[in-house]
Amino acid sequence: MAITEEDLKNMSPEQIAELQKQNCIFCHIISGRVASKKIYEDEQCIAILDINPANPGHMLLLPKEHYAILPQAPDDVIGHLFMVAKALSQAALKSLGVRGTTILIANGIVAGQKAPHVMVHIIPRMQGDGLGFQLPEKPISDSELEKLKGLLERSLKKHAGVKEEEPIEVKNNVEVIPPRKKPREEDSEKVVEAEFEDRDEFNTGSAAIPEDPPGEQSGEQSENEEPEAESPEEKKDKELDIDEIARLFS
Amino acid sequence: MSDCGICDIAESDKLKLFEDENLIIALAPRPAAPGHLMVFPKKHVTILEQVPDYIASWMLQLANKASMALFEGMNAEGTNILLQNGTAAGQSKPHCTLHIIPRRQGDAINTNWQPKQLDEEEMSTVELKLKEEAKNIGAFEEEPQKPIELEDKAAKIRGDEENYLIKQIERIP
Repeated sequence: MAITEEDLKNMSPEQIAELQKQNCIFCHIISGRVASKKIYEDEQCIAILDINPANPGHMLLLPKEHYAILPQAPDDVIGHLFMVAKALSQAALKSLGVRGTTILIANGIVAGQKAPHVMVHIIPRMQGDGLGFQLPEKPISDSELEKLKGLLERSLKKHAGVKEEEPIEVKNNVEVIPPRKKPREEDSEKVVEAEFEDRDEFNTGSAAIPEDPPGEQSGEQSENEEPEAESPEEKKDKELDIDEIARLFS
Repeated sequence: MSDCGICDIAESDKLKLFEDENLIIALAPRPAAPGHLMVFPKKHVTILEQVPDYIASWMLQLANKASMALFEGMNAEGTNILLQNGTAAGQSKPHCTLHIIPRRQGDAINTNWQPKQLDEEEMSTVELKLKEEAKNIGAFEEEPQKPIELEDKAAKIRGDEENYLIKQIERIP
């Protein structure tokens, strides 16, 4: 049955999630309807070999439940995933004779996420294997750092929040938070622009080649730009809309 | 100042955004993009394999919360959570660190790769080796029970503010 854009608009987030699940290749792998090279499995997750590996032994660790992006997954699943990721990294170090591992999660198409199912990449690494994953390291001024603290501290504290039973975190909350400067819109715009220029300079001569954005992204980008027009006040108060981010894939 | 750049971050308030018993969230001093955050254990450990399971578990949970904060506070269009485990993987500081990087369309950060073509035999060899080793996975290390919990509660009753002040005094060299 073909589904039109109009149908999608009328669907509830739950219905969209269900639709994604039905069309998710990784859900089919987990249920066994699609063959895979399984490395590890328990009640909550499964690890398979990536068929398009960055290096031999590149594993994908997937929660069995379908979540499009990591923020949709509950904490216990996320915690379990990383304990297993640690163990798989160790297994790669021990059994493949590699010298390191890169562990990578991408949230969203711009971050390189290829499929709408949460996955942890565990990539065995050898010295000089020519893979990228090297992060640019750029200078940043103290005033910019202060500004970023203001932007992030509140929502970070809200999410990482106060675990009531742990006095240590409660204490943390009592700590004096420096008064938050309200950034004016043009200020934040300026910062972003400057960074882009820097980045270009940085990249000349480096191995990292920005990939051509796949065609499907152009449509989505305009959607993503809309929130930029909001006033900083609104930006700050806006709740994290996980569904909106996850919908990028639908 | 210690020999470890990450331990130095843990000791100062300049970059720290969040701290609990085992982990710290801080802004990266040399960010890949504005808003680049790091989650790392307070205790100096070099690679993930040295981090106890229960702390590793909380590490990704915190990284996810940091990622949410980037979506919310900075309107990030995407985020990457990256761990470079070992110098072969590009780890530059000898302290296990999860990086959380806000992503935007057209930024110059590259987390893609050119897929390698392996023949069936190579794939099977790797599969068998990993599978054999992965059989040992399980029985994850849990947080040790704290016998002093009652005292902790008592400290809470005495008042956090007092605790906080005491901590401040202790910090004075």
